[in-house]
Amino acid sequence: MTEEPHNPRAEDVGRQTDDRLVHALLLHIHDPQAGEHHHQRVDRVMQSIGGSEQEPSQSASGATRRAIHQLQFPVWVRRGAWAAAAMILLALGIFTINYSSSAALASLDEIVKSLGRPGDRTFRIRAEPPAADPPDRPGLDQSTLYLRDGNQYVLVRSDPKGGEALDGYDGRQSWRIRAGVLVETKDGRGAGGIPMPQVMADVPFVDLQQTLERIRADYVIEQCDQASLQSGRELLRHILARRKSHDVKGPETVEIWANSQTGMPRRIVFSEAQSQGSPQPRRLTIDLASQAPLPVNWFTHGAHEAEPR
Amino acid sequence: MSRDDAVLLAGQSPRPVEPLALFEILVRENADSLTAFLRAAVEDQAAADDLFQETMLIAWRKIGEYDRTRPFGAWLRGIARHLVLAHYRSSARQVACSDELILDHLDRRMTQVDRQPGDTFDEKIQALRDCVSRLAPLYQEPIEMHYRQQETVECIAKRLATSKDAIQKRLQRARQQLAECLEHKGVLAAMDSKP
Repeated sequence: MTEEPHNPRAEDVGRQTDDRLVHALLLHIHDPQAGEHHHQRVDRVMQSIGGSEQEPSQSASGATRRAIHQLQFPVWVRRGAWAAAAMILLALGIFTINYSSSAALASLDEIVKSLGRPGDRTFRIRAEPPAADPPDRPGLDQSTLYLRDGNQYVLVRSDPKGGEALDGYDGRQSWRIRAGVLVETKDGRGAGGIPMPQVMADVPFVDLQQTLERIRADYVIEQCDQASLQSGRELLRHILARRKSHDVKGPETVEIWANSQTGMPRRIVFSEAQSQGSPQPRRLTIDLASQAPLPVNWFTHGAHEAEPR
Repeated sequence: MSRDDAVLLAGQSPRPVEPLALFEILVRENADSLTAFLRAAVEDQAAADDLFQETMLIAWRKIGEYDRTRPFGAWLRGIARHLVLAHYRSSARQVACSDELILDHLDRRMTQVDRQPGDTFDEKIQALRDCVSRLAPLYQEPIEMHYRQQETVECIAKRLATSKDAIQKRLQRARQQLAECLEHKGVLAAMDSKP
């Protein structure tokens, strides 16, 4: 029997390659949003191909230019240059306003829809100025908000008396934990008295989905140019909502930066937000920190209570 | 190449399909497989995403050069291979001979995966889930923490009260066992001693 020549280098290469391949496959099978990421990648490719086949500029001004091309003027208008110019300006004005507001509303709808999709999300909250938090009560600044499927939440705040203050809702029961001890449970939402903007006076602020739905009714919404946040290079959908009137309780403006494909918000900023327990309005920034799956029982109080000594 | 690729590209579809629509079908069919190839070839996930995008755009531009008798996935990997080597060069490091050997071996492995039964990439690598569930707890635990819960090696080491090195070794050993399990299940062919 002839023995195959031993080739240690090839074996090393093979082993190293298999290690990398298994790593890549593990990343794939453990990605809870593999389907969503697949669609994003493909859509990006197809958009790039579509974009390269058309005129180079695909910005809002491109849309406006297309609107001009599409305008069909009657013969009598063509006879008068001034009349035509006036028509163009009028048509452009109406087109831009309608396009902008309907696109903004569509964006907001997609954002609301994305938060309702199954999955876990972790958000970090910053409140400025932080000093506006009552000194003896848990503040909002540097707190963490966990959401599951758009209807379960855990808000973790630092407690000035020591430890952490947790408020949660597991889809059936809401609960509060202070210093590791369960202090309140209640059927349905609402335990906790969380100091949040008054826009959420009758619904918990942590229900971001309902907050955004409410903004749709009480705010004028504008679609801004795509922008990236300082923390990344990804171009995000950017919408700005302004309070319709001072009679509406809630922040002066709400700005949202969201993934242009999935609508998942990366950052939401409430400006001039009056939060319960805080004497002055302030700016709240909510940043998406992770979409990694959390432990199954994370939204139940049992997962956070200190073990008995 | 999936059963439909050849039919589509040979123009034997019962209804005429726009070239771009047809290309999109092929991109969707091969996206996960190409992503896995690039993630295995390039450590940085953002770079892998960029290379994916670039590969597909080049594929679209060169679609006329595609040999319809060959699997589309393999053709994509051929384009991606050049881009990966260019990426290594631009990352200010020498392209070692072993880099090319690794990419060759990786291509062969992905060809084996592509040949597995199943309509989707998930179905083709279904065996891996079973292999993970068969790992001993010593190895399964860090794999779950690292890949499912996306915890860092440092964090896992703290939680399991051990060193970073020990966790890294456990992860590596676990991946090795998974590769052996995939070989045993016939997803990957037994390792050839020749490169």
